[in-house]
Amino acid sequence: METKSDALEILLIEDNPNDAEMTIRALKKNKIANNIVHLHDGAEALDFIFSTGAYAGKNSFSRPKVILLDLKMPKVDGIEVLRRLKSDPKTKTIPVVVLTSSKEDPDVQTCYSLGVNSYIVKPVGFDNFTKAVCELGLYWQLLNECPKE
Amino acid sequence: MDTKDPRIEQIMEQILRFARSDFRVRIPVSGKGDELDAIIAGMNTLGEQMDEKAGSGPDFRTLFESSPGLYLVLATDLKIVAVSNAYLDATMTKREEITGRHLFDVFPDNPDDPNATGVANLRASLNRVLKNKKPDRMDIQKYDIPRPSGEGFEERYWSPLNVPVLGQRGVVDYIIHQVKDVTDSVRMQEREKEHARLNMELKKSAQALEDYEARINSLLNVLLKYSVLDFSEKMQVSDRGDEIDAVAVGLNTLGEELQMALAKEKEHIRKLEQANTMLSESEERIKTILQAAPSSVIVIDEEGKVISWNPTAEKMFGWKEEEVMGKPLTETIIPERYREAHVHGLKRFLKTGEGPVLGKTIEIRAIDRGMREFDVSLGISQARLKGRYIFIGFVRDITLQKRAEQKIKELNKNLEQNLAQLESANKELESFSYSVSHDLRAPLRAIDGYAKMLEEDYKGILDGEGKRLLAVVQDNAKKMGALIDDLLAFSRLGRKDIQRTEVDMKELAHAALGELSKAVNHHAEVRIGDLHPARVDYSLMNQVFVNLFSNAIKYSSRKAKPRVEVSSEKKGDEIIYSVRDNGEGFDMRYAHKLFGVFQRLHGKEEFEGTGVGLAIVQRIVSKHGGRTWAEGEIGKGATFYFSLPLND
Repeated sequence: METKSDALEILLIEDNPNDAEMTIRALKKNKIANNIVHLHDGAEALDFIFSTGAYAGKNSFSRPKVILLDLKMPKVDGIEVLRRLKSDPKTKTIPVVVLTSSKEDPDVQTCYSLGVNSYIVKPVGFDNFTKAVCELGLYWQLLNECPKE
Repeated sequence: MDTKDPRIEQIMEQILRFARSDFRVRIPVSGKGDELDAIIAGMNTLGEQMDEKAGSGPDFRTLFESSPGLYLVLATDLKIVAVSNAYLDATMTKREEITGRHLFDVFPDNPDDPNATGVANLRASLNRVLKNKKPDRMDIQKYDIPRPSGEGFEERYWSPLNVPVLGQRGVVDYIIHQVKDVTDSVRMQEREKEHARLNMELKKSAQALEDYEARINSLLNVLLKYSVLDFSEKMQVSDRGDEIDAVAVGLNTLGEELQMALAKEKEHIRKLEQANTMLSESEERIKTILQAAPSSVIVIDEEGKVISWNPTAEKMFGWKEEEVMGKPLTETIIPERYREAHVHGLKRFLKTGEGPVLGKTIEIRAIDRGMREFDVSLGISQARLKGRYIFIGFVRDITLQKRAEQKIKELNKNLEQNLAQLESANKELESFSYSVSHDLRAPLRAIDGYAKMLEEDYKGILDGEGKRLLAVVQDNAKKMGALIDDLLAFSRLGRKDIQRTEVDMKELAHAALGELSKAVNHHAEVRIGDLHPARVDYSLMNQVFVNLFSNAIKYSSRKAKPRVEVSSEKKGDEIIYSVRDNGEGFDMRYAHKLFGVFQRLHGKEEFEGTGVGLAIVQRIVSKHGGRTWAEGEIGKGATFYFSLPLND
């Protein structure tokens, strides 16, 4: 977990460390976000968000501008995390963007029915990947107006 | 002298005549030459002389009296004044007896004829003459006259005419009554009438006789026909009601009764004959059926002994008919272990009428003469014949059927296993695809991404060769990514259902070309002809054209003027679409490899590609019920065809 400034900008939930590193590098290098929290699987993400388990009593969760969520993760998968996020009134309004390896993924449909805001297919080429992540981050950070609490 | 000499009388009369100035009569001279003859001669001469003297003026009375007509002159008081001799002759009267007398005193009605009207009619006519002073003709009258002898009257018919004689002052002085005696002609007429009547009677009688004869003949005719059992003829019954009619009525009734009886008898005979024919026909048929039946037909009696055994049974069991007749089945075709049940079952049926195997088809084992046991299907039914039961068994050898059933069972089992395997393989494939899409791509992203990071972060350290090597790494990672994408797309096709709509194939081809031209730079001239429309899945068919165009453009890209032509034609019950290019072509020997997954006829150094495009084309076309094939020649180009069924 990394925290560089007070305001949490992006919460990245991704089990693949390489993908996570590339994503964070792209976001930072393109100056989209600095304050990124990376959580390594669904279980950790839920504990972090709802202050349970290892994060119990720490009250460390502050509302991010956007959550980037990988679908295929060990223990608790992205679908489950999304379900929990969208069924809790506190987290329901946080924009969630799903990252997937394939647009053919049957989970994409499920995500939409659960209320996901957007999804992107991780391209193989690094350039494309960087581009996609940056466009995404920029969009949700700068253009999308989040409802005020 | 004989006083009775008639000449004296004649002479006396002559004297009287002469006294009345009647000199016409001459007395015949007898020739005796005596004094009487002399007197007569003298008188005749005198008479002649007197006649001659009188001839100087006509004597009208004599003339009247001598008239050949029948005349009577009446005074107005109907007293007779004068009469002609002819009248006197006709009425058998004498002048001196009737002259001066009243007409009806002389001629009264015949008292024997109650219908006599002569007097009345004549009186009426005479009165009319007196009154009218005109002649009056009367119809022919029957007016009988009294016989001179006084014995009754004589029948007479008259045609009278009464004519008035008018005096100087126009008064009627006399009536001349003229008659004609028509008795003879009237009698003739009456005789003729009678004759005619008799003739008529005779004719009638003859006709009646003829009629009678005809009816008798007709009776005989009918009787004759009856004798040969023909009752069609009926007697005409007249309205005479005579004995022939009675006979005719009786005969007719009899005929009808006989006819009905005969019809009944005939029907009876016909039915008997029909039944006979049917019986023999059905016997023949049954025999034929038994002979030709593909099943063994075995009939046994109540003791279980064979009473019928058809040729199929001979073939099936190896026993000849003559060998098994009268033998129980337990000694021939029933395997030992079933024998007791067979005997027991037969007994039970005869005792209780219950037979669980009767009327059903069961599968059981039988043995043939060589003790070979085999599967048969057996249907038994019972029948009554002359008060006793018989049992008919239809036996079919089902060895082959059983074998086939066994085989089918095995095949089915295999099929089920295969299906299960296929299903699990499918599932595996799906999860494999999923893994491929997720897990295989992640390391590729890392390879590409970290190579890029290396390139970015260590730009100053890497020399040209180092950079080239890094580029190869990145390039291959991208190729593998493309491969994975194609492979996924291909496997996806297997699961997707096609959604047909009416598609303008020309428009679709243009759209596909446009899509491709955006992604790939090319300078090929593509001509799209008028393509037949079809009912296809738009997006899948779009993929087909994209892939075929991509192929054609790719393999013609090295030509100076690359050309691609698209056309279609109807042939039989399909539409055939073709995409022709003038590119590298291919060796027809390897044509069969074109549509396989990852099959490539060119090295990657020559042309880019994953080798999945045509496999996708084939899969989509075959999902539409069509076929794909290609023709080509190295260096001269290739044509790719696909067909779509017309009436789909």
